[in-house]
Amino acid sequence: MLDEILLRVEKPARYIGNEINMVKKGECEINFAFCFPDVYEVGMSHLGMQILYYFLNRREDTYCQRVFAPWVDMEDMMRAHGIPLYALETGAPIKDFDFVGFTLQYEMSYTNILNMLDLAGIPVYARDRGEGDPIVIGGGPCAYNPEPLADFFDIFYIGEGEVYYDEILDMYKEHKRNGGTRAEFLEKALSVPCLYIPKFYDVSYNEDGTLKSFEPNHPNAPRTIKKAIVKDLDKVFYPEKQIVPLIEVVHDRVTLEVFRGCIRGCRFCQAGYIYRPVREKNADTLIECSKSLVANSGHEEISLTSLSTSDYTQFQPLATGLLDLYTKDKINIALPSLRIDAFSLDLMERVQEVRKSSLTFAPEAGTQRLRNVINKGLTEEDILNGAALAFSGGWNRVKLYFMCGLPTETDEDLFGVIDLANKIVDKYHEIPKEERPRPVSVVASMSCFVPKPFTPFQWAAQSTVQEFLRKTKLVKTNMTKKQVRYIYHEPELCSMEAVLARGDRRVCDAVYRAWKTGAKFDGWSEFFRYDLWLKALKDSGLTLEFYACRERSYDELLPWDHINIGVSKSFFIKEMERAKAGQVTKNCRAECAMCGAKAFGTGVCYE
Amino acid sequence: MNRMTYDYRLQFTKRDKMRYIGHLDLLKYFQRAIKRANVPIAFSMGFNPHQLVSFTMPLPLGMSGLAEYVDIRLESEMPCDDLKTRLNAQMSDGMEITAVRRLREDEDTGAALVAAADYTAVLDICDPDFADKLASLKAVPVWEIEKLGKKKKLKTVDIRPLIYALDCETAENTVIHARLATGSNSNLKPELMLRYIYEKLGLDFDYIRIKIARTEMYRRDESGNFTGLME
Repeated sequence: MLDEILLRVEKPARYIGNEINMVKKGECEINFAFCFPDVYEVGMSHLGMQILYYFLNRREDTYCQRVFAPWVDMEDMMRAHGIPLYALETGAPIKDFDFVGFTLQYEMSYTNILNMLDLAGIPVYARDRGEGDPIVIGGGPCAYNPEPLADFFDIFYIGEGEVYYDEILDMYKEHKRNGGTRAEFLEKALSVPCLYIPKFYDVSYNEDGTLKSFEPNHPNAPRTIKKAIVKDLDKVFYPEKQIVPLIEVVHDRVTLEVFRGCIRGCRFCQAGYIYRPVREKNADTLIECSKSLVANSGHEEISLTSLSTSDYTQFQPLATGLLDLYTKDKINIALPSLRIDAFSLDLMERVQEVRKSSLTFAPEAGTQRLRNVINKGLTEEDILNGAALAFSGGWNRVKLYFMCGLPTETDEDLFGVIDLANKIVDKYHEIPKEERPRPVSVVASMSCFVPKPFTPFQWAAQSTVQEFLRKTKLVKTNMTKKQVRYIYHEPELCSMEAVLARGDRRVCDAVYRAWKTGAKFDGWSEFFRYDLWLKALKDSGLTLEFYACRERSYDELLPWDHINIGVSKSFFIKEMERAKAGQVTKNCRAECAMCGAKAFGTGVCYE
Repeated sequence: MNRMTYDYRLQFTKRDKMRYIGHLDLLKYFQRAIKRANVPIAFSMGFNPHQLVSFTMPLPLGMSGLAEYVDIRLESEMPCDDLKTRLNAQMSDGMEITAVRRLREDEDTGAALVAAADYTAVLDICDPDFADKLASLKAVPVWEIEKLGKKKKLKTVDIRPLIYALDCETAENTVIHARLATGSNSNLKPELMLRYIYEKLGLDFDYIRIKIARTEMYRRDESGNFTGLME
């Protein structure tokens, strides 16, 4: 049956498994379905899944298998033929697994989670699950505010998976052998400090809709849940292989994780805070690691992964080491998240001998004032000097990333975006005409600012959809140079993202209603249905304005206050105040800002 | 002076789950397998060097291939058995290198040589008289059918001359065996022939329900004899 269906859907190889380095095992005591709530090509490009897949499978007693969201054509076929959601490795229905784990990378994939549970035949609401149903567990960046999903998950794992999964699975194995119940296991799981089990907490609300209280209802439920982090990134498990897909995916390459965290402290960036403190791997470790990954994959590209590769203290030896090792084998080195300076340009020159790709800058804001507010250390001088350097080296394409609707933003900041783009064009024209064979091309891309939990801007109001539209139009009509292309995003999607990012438990109802009425693949603009979401919010008795466009006061109880990322709330308040005053905070290496992450006893705090 | 070249022809299967991999992905798959196997593959010259790998004939998505061919050029000589073992260690379930031979001096690539292929199609019909019906159909010298031409325009073609052999068995399943023109000169897709047969017999044609395998590929000499590409 599956055979015939596969020939009637787009890209059937998404649904067959059988890739290079896929783990094959016999019967195992623990079956873990690792679910990525988006389509195969997106999920297979995700490093975290590759790491945890081999991490869990290194246990003899555990078989971790992968599951992705079937594309709509496949979903229709599966529903029509009564095929439940299955795991790629064995084709077994995930309903029969012990654990169904979702990685929560993006708010707009929440409806896909509900859809996958439903397609699997697992009750969507945690409270409706019984013995025999899997334990549904969530992790990843969006788990730091788990509340908008609290009704659908049995457990959330807060932090890095390598730390406690062994303990959890050992505990589960013993529990299973002793014939324990689901409810008993969830109680036992309360002993693991990074696990949040929503059913052991009660929430009440004030009349104005804000949180009144958030209280444990079980004697063993901790008041705060502590994120788990790997202390020594150099010694922690890293896979020697990667699954190599049989079809083209978003990133087809060897991925080397260089460090976790970021020293920069951009005030809008959640990743910059939740992964603190910065912990690096040694260049030697990484080079060793690359050898087996390259040999076992046959990939033609190695990508260095981190939030800001230039901040890696051993960047130079690593980059030159990799180039020396792989240039002769025609293996390319990809260097995302680089600051443009003489060294990185020289490196890029060596890396891309043939075709010069475009240069990317992320000033995020158009004026120095606003860049100070968001603590983006990049100055106009940096950008123009970097561009000039690159132009003289033969580059002619520049991409600029901006955000619209940042706190304290005025129209002047928006005009600054236009100015900056124009100045880059002018910079190119400073080169003598005969030395620039091709015209310059500048792409200015503007996204809508979404305030996120665990950032100094977590209290900020988001612009309304109308304001976003006015602002993007303002930039569009004034961006007149023909060398500059302006791209902007649809604000409706970003406003829903803001609701889900800072939502409380009541938002679960809206997520459910949106999904029930047909919302899925919301992150794909061709599928996003703003009308469904607005109606779902309305029917749940909620408003978009309350969650997205309302400024919170510092003393408001926030839905994620029970999660402890190690960076203190008082630090975020201080940072928000500094932002309002336009004061820059130095990066972790230049000066400790006393954020609280030092308590983890590792990383950059002890360099 | 002529540089010594080391050209090899690999015969392989592509079946089961691997049927769902399209041609471009298959190329990538082979390139990576060759790298992992540490086979001393030769690269093309120029700015964007690529491995010298040449498939004889793309296999349509969903069809099984029991004797597919790819020609590769190496930098240095390698025993055929060794090449086969090393590559097989890198194959996923459903793909296997079944034979390897060194190409003769000046031998053309499979893509240039191929003139015919054998297909086996397991039909989704149950008709005890099928063999007779097919026999009378075979007796018709012209099989005219409409197909989409290069510019997406329908045109009528006679496909009968492109069918070199056609048989069937009707034991458990109804199975058609056919040898069809294949290659750059003249080519007949089994789908078109099957559609013709279904239409003539007044059957519903749903191509996906028919299980097709390509079982061998041939070159053809001046006197019309077929020789398998491995020979």
